[in-house]
Amino acid sequence: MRSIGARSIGICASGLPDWSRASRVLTDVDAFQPDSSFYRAASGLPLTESRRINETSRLACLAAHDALVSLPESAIATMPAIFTSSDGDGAVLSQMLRSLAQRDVSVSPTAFHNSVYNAPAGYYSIATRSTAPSTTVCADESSFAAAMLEGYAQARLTAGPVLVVAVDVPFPEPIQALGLSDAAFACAIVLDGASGDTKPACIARWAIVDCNASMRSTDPLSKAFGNNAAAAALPLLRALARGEPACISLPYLDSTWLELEVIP
Amino acid sequence: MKSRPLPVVAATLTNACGTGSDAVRMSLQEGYTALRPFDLEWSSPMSTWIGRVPDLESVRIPTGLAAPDSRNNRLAYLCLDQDDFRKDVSSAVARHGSDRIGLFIGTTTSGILDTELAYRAWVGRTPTTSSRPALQRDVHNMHATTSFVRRHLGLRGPAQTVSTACSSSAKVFASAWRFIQAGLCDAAVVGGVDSLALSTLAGFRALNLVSSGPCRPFDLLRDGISIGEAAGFALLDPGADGPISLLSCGESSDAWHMSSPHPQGAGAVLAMRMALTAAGLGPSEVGYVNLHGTASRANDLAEDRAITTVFGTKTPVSSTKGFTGHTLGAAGITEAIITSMSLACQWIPGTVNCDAVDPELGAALVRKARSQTFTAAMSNSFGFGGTNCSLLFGLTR
Repeated sequence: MRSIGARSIGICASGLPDWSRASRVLTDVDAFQPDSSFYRAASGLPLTESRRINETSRLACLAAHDALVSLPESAIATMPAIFTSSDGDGAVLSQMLRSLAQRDVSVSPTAFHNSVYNAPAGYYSIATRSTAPSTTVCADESSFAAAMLEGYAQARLTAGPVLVVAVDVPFPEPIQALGLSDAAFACAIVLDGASGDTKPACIARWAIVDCNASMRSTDPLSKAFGNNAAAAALPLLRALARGEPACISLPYLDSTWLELEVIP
Repeated sequence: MKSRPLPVVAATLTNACGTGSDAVRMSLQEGYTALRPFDLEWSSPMSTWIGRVPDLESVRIPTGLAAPDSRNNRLAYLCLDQDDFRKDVSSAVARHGSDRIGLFIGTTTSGILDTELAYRAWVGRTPTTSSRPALQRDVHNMHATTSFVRRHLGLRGPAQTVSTACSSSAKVFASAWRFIQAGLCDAAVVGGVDSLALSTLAGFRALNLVSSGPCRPFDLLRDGISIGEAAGFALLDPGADGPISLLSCGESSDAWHMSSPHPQGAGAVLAMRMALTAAGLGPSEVGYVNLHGTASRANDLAEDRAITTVFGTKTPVSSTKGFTGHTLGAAGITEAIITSMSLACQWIPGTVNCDAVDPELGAALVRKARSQTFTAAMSNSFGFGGTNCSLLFGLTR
């Protein structure tokens, strides 16, 4: 497979509130310190939407904004976007399930429209006024790798920039018992299929390979984000922060991995 | 850049109209709605009509498949069993290898019904019973049915679930196209599976979008949607032959509102024009448009404005949601296959339940099925979050 540029990165998670601070942590300049101040308001939304926005959408918008902050508005308005989440929004789902369990089977209209899987994509398009296409994909715990593959395909075919955003948030009990996400983590990466544009790095290989335990990429911070499937991005983000060549294996379907090679 | 046509080698669909393509086509040709008054045993009553797949409750997934049982997986299993579809997929596996065939499935709720029912049992529990609801991750996750279909068909290529509300299983065609073009797979199975669930029934009702009777697309007195369930699958293979080909996909975002369409249908216009441009076709070369046509007041008005902006008032259009109901995450594949069948049979389905066309709507609505000669047709799918997808199909030259 061809190599694709990795143009910019955004993040929103505890102790990793934005890419400039996260890259200092991921290059071991600063120590990782959990910090809940990453929970802030998303920018660019009209009042109604900013009042109604749910957690996955807010974190996804914050991570996307962080990745796009240095890009011109005209580029954002035409950039296709790909969103992914393994489990969707825990608070919204839990609220819906509790009200559906009542005799009158009713739900709040806002909870319902926030429960659609593509809610982050909807809020993002409103915040950025981008009418460019977006899609929302899921592959359970392999969701980040699935979104990266969709990003690869789109970047190659458009020969331009494509935004990939992954988000998962904690689920309350008792539905948490399913082994769903128990932490908040969102990240965004702008892939670029334009030839020659490989700053600050490019990502090559893009091979789906059978499981080989010795090759598995883990990250020292993985434990801090528990079962969060979006945090599978951490080894890739660390390699990009360090600007060093690296081989990364992201968990993919049924004991396979998506192998990526980071070339600074 | 003009895209290369992608042959539809095989297709199957199951919905309230019937099990398998022939049953659905006959139902559309006869022109009677398959909607029925709400009669779901597992819900308290709702005053609406639904598109329920008959006898889905009696479908059993063979234990040999070791598949988690859920309404959604039963619907997928039932559908895959029709039209020799699995045989056609086996032939594709023999041609390309199982790791070179991608799988792209659209859904909005996957197996959530089982989670809803488990929660209800848990909330109503007595203190002596289990302290947790009986939940299953491999039923609940949005990717659950895709995993089941992948194992059942023996596919080992790239796979993903697309969940973009009511455009989900239209957008699977766009993803499959990209994966094939980018060399990530050689052929693809696309599909959509969405079954009736409390979340969607109660959710659309909370937004005042549900009709009290059978839905009436484009009718003056239309008052909302009828929710249905459906499954559909298609095999796309650039190296094989099929009478119909996917010519192009157009996608856009409204960037307007989470649950209402742009009033002028601006996003829908973008998607339709993108599909036309990619196929290198002018509006006059499209002989039929299968509308999203949900029968909500706002959707039909916005879509009509978009259609007349792009096509004018002469291109024949119809909505088949009065037959099947709005099958949400399966609406895209259902109507893509209906559009392909229309082209293959040179016939346009009518708009059942539309008795008096809303005079505010200007598109050339076909109310009764009729024969027509045409070479290209479009299928529209729009959804919450302002997601739009238009697919163009053509007779293979």
